[in-house]
Amino acid sequence: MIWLALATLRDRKVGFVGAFVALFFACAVVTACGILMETGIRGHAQPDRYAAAPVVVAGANEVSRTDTTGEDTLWAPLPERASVPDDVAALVAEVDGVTRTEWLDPGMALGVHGPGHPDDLAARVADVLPADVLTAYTGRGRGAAEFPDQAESQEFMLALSGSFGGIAVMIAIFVVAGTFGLLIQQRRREIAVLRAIGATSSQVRSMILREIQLVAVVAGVLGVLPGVVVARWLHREFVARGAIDPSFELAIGPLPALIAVATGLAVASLAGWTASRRASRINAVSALGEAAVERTGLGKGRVIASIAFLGLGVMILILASAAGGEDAAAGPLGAVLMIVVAVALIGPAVMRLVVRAVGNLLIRLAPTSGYLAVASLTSGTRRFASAMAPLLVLVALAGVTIFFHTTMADNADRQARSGLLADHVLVAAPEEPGVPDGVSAQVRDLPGVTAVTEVVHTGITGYTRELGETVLTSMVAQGVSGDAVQAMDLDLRAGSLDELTGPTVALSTLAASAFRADVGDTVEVHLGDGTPMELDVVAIYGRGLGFGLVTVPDDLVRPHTTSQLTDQVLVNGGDPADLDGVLADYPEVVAVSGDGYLDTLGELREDEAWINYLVIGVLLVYVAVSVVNTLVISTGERARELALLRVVGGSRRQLFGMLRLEALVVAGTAVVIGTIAMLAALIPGGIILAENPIPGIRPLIYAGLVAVAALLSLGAVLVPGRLLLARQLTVASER
Amino acid sequence: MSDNDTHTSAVRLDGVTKVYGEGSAAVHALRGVNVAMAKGSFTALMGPSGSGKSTLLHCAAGLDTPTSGRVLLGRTDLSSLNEKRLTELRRERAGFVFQAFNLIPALDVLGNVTLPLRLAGKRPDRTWLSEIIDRVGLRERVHHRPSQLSGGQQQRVAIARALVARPDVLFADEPTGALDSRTAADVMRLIREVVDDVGQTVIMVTHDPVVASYADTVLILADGRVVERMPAGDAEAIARRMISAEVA
Ligand SMILES: Nc1ncnc2c1ncn2[C@@H]1O[C@H](COP(=O)(O)OP(=O)(O)O)[C@@H](O)[C@H]1O
Ligand SMILES: [Mg+2]
Repeated sequence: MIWLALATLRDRKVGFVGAFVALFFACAVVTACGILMETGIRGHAQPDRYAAAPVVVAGANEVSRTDTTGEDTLWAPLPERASVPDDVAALVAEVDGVTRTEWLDPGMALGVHGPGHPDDLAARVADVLPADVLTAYTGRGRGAAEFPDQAESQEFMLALSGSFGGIAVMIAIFVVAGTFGLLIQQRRREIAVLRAIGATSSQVRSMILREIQLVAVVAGVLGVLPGVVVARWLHREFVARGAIDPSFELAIGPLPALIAVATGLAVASLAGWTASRRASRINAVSALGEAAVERTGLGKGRVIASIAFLGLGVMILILASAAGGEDAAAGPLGAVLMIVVAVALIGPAVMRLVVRAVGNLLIRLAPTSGYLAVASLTSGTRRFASAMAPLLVLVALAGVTIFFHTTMADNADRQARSGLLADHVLVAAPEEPGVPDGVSAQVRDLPGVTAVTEVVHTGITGYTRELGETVLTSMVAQGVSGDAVQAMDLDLRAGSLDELTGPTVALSTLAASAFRADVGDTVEVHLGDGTPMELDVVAIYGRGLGFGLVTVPDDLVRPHTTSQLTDQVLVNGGDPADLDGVLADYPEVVAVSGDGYLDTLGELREDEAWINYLVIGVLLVYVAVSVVNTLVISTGERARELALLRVVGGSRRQLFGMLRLEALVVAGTAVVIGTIAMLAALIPGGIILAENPIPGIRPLIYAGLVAVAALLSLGAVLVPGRLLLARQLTVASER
Repeated sequence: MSDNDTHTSAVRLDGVTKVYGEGSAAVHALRGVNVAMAKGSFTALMGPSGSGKSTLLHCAAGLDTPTSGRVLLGRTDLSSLNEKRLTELRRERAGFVFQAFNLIPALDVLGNVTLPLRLAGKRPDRTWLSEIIDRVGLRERVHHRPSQLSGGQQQRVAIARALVARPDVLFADEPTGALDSRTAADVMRLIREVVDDVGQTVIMVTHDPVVASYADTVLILADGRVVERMPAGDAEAIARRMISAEVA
């Protein structure tokens, strides 16, 4: 039996190294996400100047509500900061227990002094403040008031680490499960012997589980450090590209590392448990016989789970479409995740179908290599499926993340281009806060000018309905002045923009469905700085992506923005030379043509995509490692088979051809299904959000994605394959 | 491929040595082997474990290259062949049967048997294929996978595959090593029949005197050298000679 022990030891080394690598990288990626998330949660800046006062009165940075049951808290961040009017400052000074007030930032932040606990003082001060608009900050909260950009950075970090971490954990599950499946497959003989000499199946199971858990803990602990390095690198990139404030430092605590190791252990145990259940059922007699052929049946549980996930994916799409607003954007990614899980669960059956579909073609193209490839693909569907799954995740998720953004960018661009009627656009010069008030009046008097529209870009927070419950939804809003109808064609579906004066609103179709509102209804919102308001719906329009989900009167919203300045002035007619004459007095304003303005907007949207590329890049490295890992193990497992084929007369070229075809079928399956999953999310997403089914796929990026999948798969099979084929043929007769 | 010169041996080894490793770790698996096997002969290679039987077989079949010396398969000097020619030689002129793991698990019986032809890009000779399948008694199981066959049946498939290309020599390394004695006897009778009926040249490694007794000639190896060459005769005689070779 020595041969058995030696053989399994040798095989197991490869298998365990594979499992180790899978878990090591999983832990690194989860640690990195964890650090970003903790930074997002804890990352309040310490107050600096504002620390001078125990309580600081300043504009609210969020709006929150407790619902009728008193349980769920509705919450949304606010895009603008209100100023602190003098009369409010005077009221605060009169509050019981306030000994002294001082302007920390004139008009923006008022420091309040008084004896007792700051929280008690703050509670009394809050009573005289306009609700939702001004907040009495204490403790660390004062940091958020002092550095308003921090809140944005924080939100960015939370959103990013959430989606990034979700994808990473999911890939980890597939990869680790796949690796363990292979590991168990390799150990069939050893397990059979154990069973034959009387080990119970639960003994076998616990032995395997122990080993797997040991590997998981060691790999996890070692994976923490690279995780920290990745998090630091990402943080540096975010700061360098202006996504987060430089003062927003990384919070590195022990928690993410602990969570990462625990996640690794949990994933490994789950994967190990399923794999070992299969292993402990191994029949002693059959396993000791000829080289193992995989069990071909799919468990009932898998099929049911797969159908459930597919259903969930469809449901997410439907729900997201009903949600409207910006929440709808989360739909496609969630749907793709579910579809991918559904396919991966029945991966072996999918591979079998694919091989049945393309088998004859392969054999016709390459009679010998094709025949061998089809045979091994048919009998090794489980093995090939576990290599296919991470590639599928890569293609589908990278595709949907990147192309959802470009699809929306294309639709926004299309809508803006067909809707913008103005000939000239006056915008603030770089680094300037906005267009000063006097400009539009002067432009209006120029010869040939037929309309002048002031536009302010802000956001509103609406009470919308989702699954029968009220939620707070942030929406991009534009405030427009009187001539808007001439400057932009919003593709009106109902009502009229003429009535857009006073407390009124025009809703895009998306916003209308989120509010469940129609012309004549009233919607409840908070303006940018938190001011609560009820607005009458006067119109419904189609071009929400191009111009903003809601449109409100300029004079209604502009006082509720931080700068209180116009962002753009749209001009119909007039001579550019005359415009330049007016702007000579305003160096902070520049005039561009309508088309020039749209081009700049388009470029800005493309620039926003970098964040996707960065995160996809990190995941790509991770998936690459996983795929290579899985394929290297499964190719290594075939040393004897390859040697035997050579002995029987197969040339290196033929066997190389076989490996190449197998790798291409694996990559091809991942690309085709990944693309279908991607389109299944992008097309409904486009229809729902932009009434346009055409996805904005960038051919070059897509080709790159396909090439990466193919190269990963080919490289991971052919490199070890070449080494194996160069080995002694006598391994064929080794026992 | 076959030539009419009956004086040419099917396989000949001239002064073949094989050293594994280097320096103090060097293992001299073969220390100068000179043997020739006539066409249509059935030779058993015997000897204690580690005496170099498998190494001799591998060198004779072109699976491994000798450190020095010459191997002739028919008139072909194996050392003169490049990798491509060696591959062609293996699939056209040599057949192999190992102790276990002889079959490609992904292929059914028919797929395994016709594999060498497929690799050579040749159509199977229907009558010959049919005859082989009948001889090994697997007509009912041509579409079974190896995992669905017993050990004896698996060895029969391996023998059928080794014969399908009408090789000059059938090489077998402990073909019955993993079988019980009854099944082993069946397999040996099958090999013997092929030698008698078709004139197949067979070289077989075994450590079992009963198995060796099916051969025409027994070569006994010890420590990398051929120490004895005897007609097979009965198993007991072989066993006695084995013991004396081991003692020597
Ligand atoms: N690949 C190898 N590397 C090193 N030593 C080897 C190798 N193959 C065989 N040997 C050694 O060569 C000697 C002969 O081996 P082998 O021909 O397999 O013997 P047998 O088949 O008679 O048992 C043994 O000592 C064995 O350990
Ligand atoms: Mg041997």
